Amino acid sequence: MSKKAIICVDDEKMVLSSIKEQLRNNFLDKYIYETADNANDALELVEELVDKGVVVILIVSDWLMPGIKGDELLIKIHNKYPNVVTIMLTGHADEEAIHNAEKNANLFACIRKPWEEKTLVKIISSALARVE
Amino acid sequence: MNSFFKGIFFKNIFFGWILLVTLAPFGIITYLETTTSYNALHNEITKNLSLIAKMKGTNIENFIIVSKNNATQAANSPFVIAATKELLQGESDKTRMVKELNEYLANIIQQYHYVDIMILSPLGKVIYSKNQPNMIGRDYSEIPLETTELGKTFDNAKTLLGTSLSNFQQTPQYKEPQLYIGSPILGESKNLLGVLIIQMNNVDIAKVIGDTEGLGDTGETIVGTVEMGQITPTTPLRHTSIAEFMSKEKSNTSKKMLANFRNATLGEKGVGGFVDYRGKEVLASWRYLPSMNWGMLVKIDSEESLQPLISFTKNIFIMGALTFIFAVILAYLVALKLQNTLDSLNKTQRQLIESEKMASLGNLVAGVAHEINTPLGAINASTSNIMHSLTRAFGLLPTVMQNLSSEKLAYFYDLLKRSLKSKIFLLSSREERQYKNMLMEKLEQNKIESVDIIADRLVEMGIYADIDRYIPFLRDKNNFDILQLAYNFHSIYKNVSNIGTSVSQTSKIIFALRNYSHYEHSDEKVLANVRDGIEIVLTLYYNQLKHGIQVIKNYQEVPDILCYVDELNQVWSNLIQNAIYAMKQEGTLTISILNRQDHILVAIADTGSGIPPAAKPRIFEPFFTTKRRGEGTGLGLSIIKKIIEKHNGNIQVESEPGKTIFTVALPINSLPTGESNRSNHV
Repeated sequence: MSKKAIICVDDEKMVLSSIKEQLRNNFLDKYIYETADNANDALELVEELVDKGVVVILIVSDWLMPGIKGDELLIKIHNKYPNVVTIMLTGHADEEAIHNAEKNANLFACIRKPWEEKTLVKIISSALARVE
Repeated sequence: MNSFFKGIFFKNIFFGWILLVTLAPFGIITYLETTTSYNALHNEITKNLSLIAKMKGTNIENFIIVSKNNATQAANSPFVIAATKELLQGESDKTRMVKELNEYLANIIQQYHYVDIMILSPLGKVIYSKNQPNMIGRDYSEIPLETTELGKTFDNAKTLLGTSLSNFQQTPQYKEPQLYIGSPILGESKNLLGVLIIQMNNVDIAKVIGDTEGLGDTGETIVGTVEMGQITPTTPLRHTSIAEFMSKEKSNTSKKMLANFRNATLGEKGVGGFVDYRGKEVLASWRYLPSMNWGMLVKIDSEESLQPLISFTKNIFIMGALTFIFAVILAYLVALKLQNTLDSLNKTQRQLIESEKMASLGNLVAGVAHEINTPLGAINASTSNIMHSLTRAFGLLPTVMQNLSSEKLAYFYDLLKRSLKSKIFLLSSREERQYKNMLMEKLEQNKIESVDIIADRLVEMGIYADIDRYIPFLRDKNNFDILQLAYNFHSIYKNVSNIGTSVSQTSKIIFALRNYSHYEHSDEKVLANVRDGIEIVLTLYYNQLKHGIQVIKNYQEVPDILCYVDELNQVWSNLIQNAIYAMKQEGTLTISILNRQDHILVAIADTGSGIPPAAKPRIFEPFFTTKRRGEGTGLGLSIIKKIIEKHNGNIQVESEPGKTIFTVALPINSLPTGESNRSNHV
C-alpha cells in the first residue's frame, strides 16, 4: 500500500510546525505530514511526492502568502489532482478569494485562524473519511 | 441670524466681488447714459430756444421794418409833403389836402394798429396829429429832446435825415409803453419840411414777444435794451410786469444774465445756462435784433426743460435701486452657494484625507488580521501540543527509565542536549525535506526500519548532521521509545518558545496599531520621536517586508520634535507602502534618519522600478496616480506633502530605475519649555 501525505502550506514556520505536530498527535503516523513555506514550494513538493509514489490526499493552505495566494494554489493543485481535498486555513481572506476557491478548487472547508484543535481535527477527519 | 449675516457680509470675500461685478457695469452704463442724455437733451433744448429766438426776432424785426418802411413811405408820399407844406403855412386843417392826408394816414393806422401818426415842424412843433388833437401845438423844441423818446426820435430823424426808431416809453397817458418811428419829410430841393412820427404801442410786438409756443410752462422772452446797468424790457414779461422785473433784477443781481443780455444788445448771439432774476436755474438763447438795436433773450427753467432727463434719471435711480437690491440678493445667494460649495469642498478634502488614511489602514487590515490571528493560532496549537507531549512523555517515562542502560542514557542525553541547543526554525521546509531525504537514505543504507518516522523526528529535533554515532543506537527497534521521549521533551521546548515568539509578535502588532492612530485628530502638536513612528509602521508592514525585502536601518540619534504624530505616521506608512509596491515585494528598503542640527532628514530608499520621468513632476498633485484604477486614490503623496508642509518641512524625490529616494526634512523646533536650553548647557 502506497503512503499517503497531508500537506500544510503557510508562510509562518510556527504555524507549520505546530499544525504538523497537531496532525501527527491526532492522526499518528498513518500519514506523512509535509510542509511548504509558500505556494511554489508546495507545487514542487506535490510533484516530488507524486514522483516518489506518495499519494497526496489533503492540502491545508494559508491564504495570505507572498507570491501566489492560497486560493490560486488550491485551484492549481485541484486542476492537476482533482482528488486532493482542499482546505483553506487563514487569518484573513476576502470573501471573493474563498468564493473563488469554492467554485474552482472544490474547497472542502475554510478554517479561520486562530483555529481550535477540535475543529481542525473534526474537519480533517470528515475530509479523510470522504476520501477513504 | 445676525452673526450669520455678519459672516456673509464681512467675512465672505465672494459677496463683495459678486456685488462689484454685478453693479459695476450697471453703474458705468447709468453714468454714461445719463451724461450722454444730459448732453443730448441740453443741446436739443438750447437748439430749440435758439430757433424760437430766431423766429421771434425775425417776426419783431419784420414788424419794425414794415413800420419803418411805412414811416419812410408816408414821409415821402405827395399827400404828406403837400399837406405839410400847407400846415407849415398855417393853413387850416380843414383843407382838401389835409382831408386827403387824414384818409391816407387813417388807412395805415388801421392796417397796422398804430396809435397815431403825427407831423412835427422842423423846429419840433407838433403841427399835425391824426388821433390826438391835444398834441397839436406842443413844441418839442422847448423841452430837452433827449428826455422823451418822441423828442429823441425827432432829433435823430432830423439830424440823420433817415428813419429812426425810439425805445419804448412808458407814459402816464397810455397803459402800454409807446414807441416812435420818425422819418424826415423832404421838399423838392431836399429841404426839411418836417418829421413824420408813427406812434405805436407794444401790443403787437408784445404779442410776438409774449408768444409762449414751444416754451412750455416756464419759458419767457425778454426783448429790450440795457439802460443804466439794468435790463430794460420793452414788454411785460410772461411772469412779471416790467416794473416788477426791474426791481427783482436789481435785488437778485443776476450778473451772468445781465452780461449775456448786454452781449446780445452789442450784436452777439449765444446759448447757456445761468440763474435768472427769479433765482431759478435757466437755459437761455440770446441774440441781437439789428433793426431796433435791441437784445433778445429766450429762456426756460432748467427744471422744466430737463424734466424728461430728471424723470429719466429718477427712473434710472429707481431701476438702480431695484437692481442693487436684486444684485445684493443675488450676490448673497451666490455667495451663500459658493460658501456652501467651499465648505463642502473643505469637508470633502478632510474626508479624502481621512479616507486616504483609512485606505492605507485598510491596506494594513488584511495583514494585521493575519499577523494577529496567525500567532494566536500558533499559541493555541502549541498549547495543545505541549499537553500532548507531556502526556506522551509521562507515559513513556516509566518504561524508558526501567530499560535505560548507562550507554543508552548517554545517547538519550546527547539527543536531548543537541535538540535543545538547535536553533528553532532555522531551516526552510524545503531544506528540512532535503535533510530528511538525506537522513532516510543514510538510515536505509544502515538497514534501519521506519526510516521516514525516525528521519522526520530527527530533523524536527534539529539533528540532521553528524548522525553516524547514532546509527548503532537507532538500529535497535526498542530504542525508538527513547528517541520518542527525547522528541517529546524537544517538542515541549519548541512549543514553549513558539508561544513566546507568537506572544511577542502579537503584542508588537497591538502596540503598533494602538500607536498608529493613538493620537486622535487634535490640533495640538506633541513631542515625539520620528524613529518611534517609523518603527511602528515597519512593524505594521512586517508581514509584507519579511519575505524578499531586506530592511536596512541607518538611524542617527535625533531629538524629539513637536509634531502631529499620527499624521507623520501616515507619511511614513505611505512612503513605505509605496516602496514595497514599487519593489514588487523584492529588494532593499533603506531607511535613514539623519540629524542635521536644525532639521531631521528621513530618507526612504527603495530598489524598485523607479518613477517614470514623465510622471515625476506630477507625483505630488492630488489624484495623480500611476497605479491602475482602484489600486490607489492618487492622494497619498499630495496629502503627504500637505502634512509635511504643515510641519514646515519639505519633501523631495530622486528617482532612477532601481533607486528611488524620498527625502523628508523636518525642522527641529525648540522645546515648549526651557528644557532645551538646559539640555544644551549640560
